Amino acid sequence: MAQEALLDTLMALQPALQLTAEKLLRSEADAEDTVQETVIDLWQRRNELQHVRDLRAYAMQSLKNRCISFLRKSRDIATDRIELLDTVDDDAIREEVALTEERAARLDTMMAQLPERQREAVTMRYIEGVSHEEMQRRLGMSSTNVYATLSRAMSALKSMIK
Amino acid sequence: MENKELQELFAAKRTTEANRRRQAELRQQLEAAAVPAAPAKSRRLWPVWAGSIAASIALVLLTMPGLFRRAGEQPVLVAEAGEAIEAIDTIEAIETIETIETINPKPAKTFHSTAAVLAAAEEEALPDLETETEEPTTPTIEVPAIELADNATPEPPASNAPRIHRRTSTSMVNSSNIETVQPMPSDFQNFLASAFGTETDTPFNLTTFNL
Repeated sequence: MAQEALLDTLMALQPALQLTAEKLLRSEADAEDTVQETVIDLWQRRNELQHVRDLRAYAMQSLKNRCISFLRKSRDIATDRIELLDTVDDDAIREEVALTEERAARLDTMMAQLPERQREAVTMRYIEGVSHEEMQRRLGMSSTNVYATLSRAMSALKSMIK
Repeated sequence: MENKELQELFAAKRTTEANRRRQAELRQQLEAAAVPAAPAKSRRLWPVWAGSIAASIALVLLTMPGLFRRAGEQPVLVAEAGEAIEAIDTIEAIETIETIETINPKPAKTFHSTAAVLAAAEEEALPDLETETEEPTTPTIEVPAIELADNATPEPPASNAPRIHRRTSTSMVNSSNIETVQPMPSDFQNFLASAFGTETDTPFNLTTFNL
């Protein structure tokens, strides 16, 4: 497998790896670290991966092994999470990742119908998690105008869902 | 935000945005010329590195006394090796003496020390190459020159001793190649003289015809 193709494959696997690690470790930060280590390790051993038939399964198993090591090393070791390894179904992970991407795409479509100011306000508040004070500074609005803009945007989105 | 479905949409959007950010970071790391051995963001990897360094230092400290001890043992090992070689020399010397005594029996000698055995072996057992070496002798075969004067009948060999044919190379000399040279008949000599215009008073040499 060419390096560029392997890179694309690993990037495509990242959401599934992240979701699996989050389910096992129950920590977004720990999952991010574990996925990062797993992908870098796979990349460093990319010459060995030429003979791997199912790279997705190989990467998933490698991630699970790292999660087991992480759980065993951590002080708050929980056997039920180790038992979760058997219950984390790759197909279910694949479906959940696809559903998440579908929902995100749907929201993109809905937000594209909003006025630009409302779209910016919604993105800052509900996607990036920016505070009201920071939104006032960035948008150059008063606090009342920020609340009013957000309210109008959410009403429009709700109407789109119905 | 009260609408649950809308909450799910925003959660999915946040997840995909976070994954895009992670993918960008990962791609940047993997595309770099030297992939770092450990991710820089990872906060929990420092115990691994610290443990590795500590283990390496401990291994070195544990190994150093052994190295010094081995260095002290080295002369002992060398001495043991010298004794072993001396023992082998002694055995070889005794075997050599026994061989010589078998060939040329002499009164048995009694050696009281290894040095004596070795000295005796050097004096008696080793052959003197300068005095005993002789030039190899090769058998020589004398080939008498056959030269006939005109009208002279080749003299028969004084005895019946075989003579070597001239065209026979020395490497082919053996009993089968040795034949007796018969005297040339006078009629044949006259025929040769008339055929090649040789005067009768000129000495006729058979070697001219490369017989």
